[in-house]
Amino acid sequence: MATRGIPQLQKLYIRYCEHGGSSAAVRDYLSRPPRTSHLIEFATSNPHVQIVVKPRNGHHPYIQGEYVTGQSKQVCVKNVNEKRIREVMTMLRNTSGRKIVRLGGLAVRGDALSIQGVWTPMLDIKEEKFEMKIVEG
Amino acid sequence: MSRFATAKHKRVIKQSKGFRGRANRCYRVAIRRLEKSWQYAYRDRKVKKREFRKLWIQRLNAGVRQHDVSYSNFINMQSKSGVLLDRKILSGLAMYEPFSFKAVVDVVKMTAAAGTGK
Repeated sequence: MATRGIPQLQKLYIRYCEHGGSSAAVRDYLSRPPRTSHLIEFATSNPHVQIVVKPRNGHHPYIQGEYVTGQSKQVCVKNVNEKRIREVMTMLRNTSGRKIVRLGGLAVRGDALSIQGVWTPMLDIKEEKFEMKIVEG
Repeated sequence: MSRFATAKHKRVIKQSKGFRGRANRCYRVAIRRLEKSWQYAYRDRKVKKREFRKLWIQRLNAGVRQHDVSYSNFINMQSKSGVLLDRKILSGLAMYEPFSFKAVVDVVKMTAAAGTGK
């Protein structure tokens, strides 16, 4: 995420254990060959991020991002799969360092309670079919 | 009676509106009931969060049982699916937007079936 043209993520720490089972996915992620490595691709496409990979034996793995605002975000990646690690890296890169706060005031209140119709005991929608598809994303 | 005592008493009694018996009129009784009410308020600010979650869970259970699944199974499936909606929103959907709620339940069931089928 960039605010006014300045990318917000400055540093990314990846801490993992060299032996522990919870760090297995992180170790696989880090030891991919350069051609297929997501880490290398991430580092080259995000030159503003300083990536520090350090083992921390005897502890669960985590990924920590430090931002221009001075705040940091830590995400525990113990016992996850590699897809989740890639998601976490992308998430840390895409977010700003700011705290997640509720914007504005309370919810908007209107006259209409419900658009689809308030539930009644006589409502029978078991036969309703919706078009659904699983998409890998 | 000194002016200052009356003003202080008035300020206290104003806060004990709606209290039972002499607590809404007399300072001595009021101040005791007020201190208790403040204790309850402190405790119940934390309890309120628990109570609402209980309510949402009851409502979710009812809503989800109409679609042939129990709350416990639904929550288990939902945590594995990509649906990040919380109990508050889901119970609101079950009450006010039954079609959207059924869609969410169907999505959760579908991802669960796909997960176990793999």
